[in-house]
Amino acid sequence: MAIIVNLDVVLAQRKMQLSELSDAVGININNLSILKTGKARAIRFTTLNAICEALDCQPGDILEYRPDEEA
Amino acid sequence: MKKLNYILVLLSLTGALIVCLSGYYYFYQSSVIMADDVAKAGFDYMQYPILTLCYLMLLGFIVTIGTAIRLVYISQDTKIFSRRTVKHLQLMGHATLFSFVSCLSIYIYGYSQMGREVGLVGAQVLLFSACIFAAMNIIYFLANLFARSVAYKEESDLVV
Repeated sequence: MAIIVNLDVVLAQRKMQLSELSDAVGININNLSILKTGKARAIRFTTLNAICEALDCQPGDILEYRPDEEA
Repeated sequence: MKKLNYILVLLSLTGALIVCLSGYYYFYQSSVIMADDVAKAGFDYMQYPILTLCYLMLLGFIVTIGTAIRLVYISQDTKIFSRRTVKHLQLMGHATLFSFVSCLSIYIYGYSQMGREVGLVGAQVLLFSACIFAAMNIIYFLANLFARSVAYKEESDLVV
C-alpha cells in the first residue's frame, strides 16, 4: 500500500509512548500498534480526530502518500 | 484437555465406523438373501464390487457427519468465523463428493452389467445420488460463504 503511517515519528517528536497515547485517545493499544506498524487497512475519522487532538498535529503529519515505485 | 477431547471424538468416530460397517454388512447379507432371483440370473459376481462401493459411500458419509458434529462443537465458541471452520466445511464438501461419486458408480456399474434389469432399485440409487449431489452443492456453497465472511472479518479487524 502507498499510504505510510508516521505515527512513530510524531510520537517521538512529542516524546510520548504508545501506551500514553492509548490512554489519551481511549483506543486499545493493540489497535494503535496495528496502525503504527502499517498493518491497518483503514482508519475511522473519529480515530484520526482523536489522535490528532491528542498529539496536536495535522492528519498529514501522521499519514503520507508515497507512490508504489518509491515504497 | 483439548487432546483428551480429540481422543474421545476419535474413539467415538471409530466406534461409529465399526458399528456402521458391521451393521451395513448385516444389511447387505439380508439383501443378498432377498435378491436370490438376481443371484440365480448369474449376477452374483456383482455383490463384492457393489459392497465395496457401498462401503466407500458410507465412509464419505461418516467423515461428513463426524466433521459436522465437530463444527457444531466449534460453533459454540466465539471464533466460528475462522479459517478452521472454512477448512472443515471444505472437508465435508469433499467427503460428500466422494460419496456421490461412489453412489453414482454403483448405478453405472449395475447398469453396465444388468442393463434395464436394474429396475426400481437402480432408479432409487440414482435418486439417492441426486440427493447427495444437492447436499454437496449446499455444503460447497456454505464453505464459500464462510470463506468470504472470514475475509470480510479479517479486513474489519484491521480497521482502526
